[in-house]
Amino acid sequence: MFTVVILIAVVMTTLTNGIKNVAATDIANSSAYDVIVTLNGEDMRASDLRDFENVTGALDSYESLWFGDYCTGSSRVYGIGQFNELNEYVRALRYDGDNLDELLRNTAHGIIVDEYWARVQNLSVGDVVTFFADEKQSNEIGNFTVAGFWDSSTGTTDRGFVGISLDDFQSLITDVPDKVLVRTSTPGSVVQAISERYLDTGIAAVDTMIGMLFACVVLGAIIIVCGIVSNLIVSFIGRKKEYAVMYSVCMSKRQLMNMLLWEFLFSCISVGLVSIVAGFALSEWFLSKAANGTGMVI
Amino acid sequence: MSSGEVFVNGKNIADMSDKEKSVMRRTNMGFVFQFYNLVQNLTIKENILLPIVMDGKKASGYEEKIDRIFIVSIFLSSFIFGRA
Repeated sequence: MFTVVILIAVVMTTLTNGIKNVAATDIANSSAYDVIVTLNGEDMRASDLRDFENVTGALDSYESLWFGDYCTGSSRVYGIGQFNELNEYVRALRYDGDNLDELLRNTAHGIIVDEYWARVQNLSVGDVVTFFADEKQSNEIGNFTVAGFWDSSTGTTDRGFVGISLDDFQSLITDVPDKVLVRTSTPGSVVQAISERYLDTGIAAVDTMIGMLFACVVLGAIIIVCGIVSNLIVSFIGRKKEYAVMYSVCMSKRQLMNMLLWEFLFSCISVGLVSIVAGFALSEWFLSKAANGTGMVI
Repeated sequence: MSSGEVFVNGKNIADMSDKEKSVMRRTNMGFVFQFYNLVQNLTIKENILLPIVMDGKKASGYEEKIDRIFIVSIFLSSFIFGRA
């Protein structure tokens, strides 16, 4: 029974606590930006990278959204607080004039779209388009009005960059950042520095550890199920004579079944409760000990 | 015997439900097994009290009576066999 409890505790530990992977999946130079960091989850933000040497700025970027009816592809959407600030990071964007911020402010749910793409789609200022969060267009974000155009041809081929106001972005789009754009004068050394902290030293060890842990968990789960079933069968066979005596002396079949059911429930609930408590109690200790060897942050 | 009917207290046991039969067994019949048959997880006293408890009665009302039976049994066995 104790072994079963410990195994369930390990399962609970992994399921309830998990391992927070701080690594990025890709870090690369870019013609459009100085450095693009592709994130692997919610654990890294632009603010984590601003302290790196020679990094003069970092900006969170967000997942693509889909245009209903107009475009078969997706568009990378930027929330624009100040256009100058965005232009500092995204060199692919070109805009003639300085009233982009004003256009967005003066248009309710306004968007800035690529001028070539707008010509192909026959879009002009004032037209309304619908954003979706998925390609199948089942999850609608909302309607947006074309407020102006920019040129996103430099450094990209999809021409699909779209700008909306930061207020609209924060209120309508709840996705977490998927990329961080980094501004630096020395992209090579910054890529190396970020990789050493978030990519090279972390992700392989994390993947190996997660794989081993889940193999243990699966093995443990199989042993637990087999152990419980085996215990129940052995217990039932061993007490067959006892049940027969009880049945012959005083109990009905229904009372016997009720007794067995309550015994089974009591075993399951007591083991489950002990396991959950032990799982929570051991989780921090177990994971932190296991992670110390790899130098990861849990 | 290849056919016939068994009546207990005027009732045909073939017509009784499982619950009625179990009530009949624990209230109207006593068992003397040919071999040793006790529920191993229970004490002798609890084994004796089991049908009473299953009948929905409180065991406390019968414990004194069972204790007296025990004392008499021990006395008799020591008298017959010379030791308890």
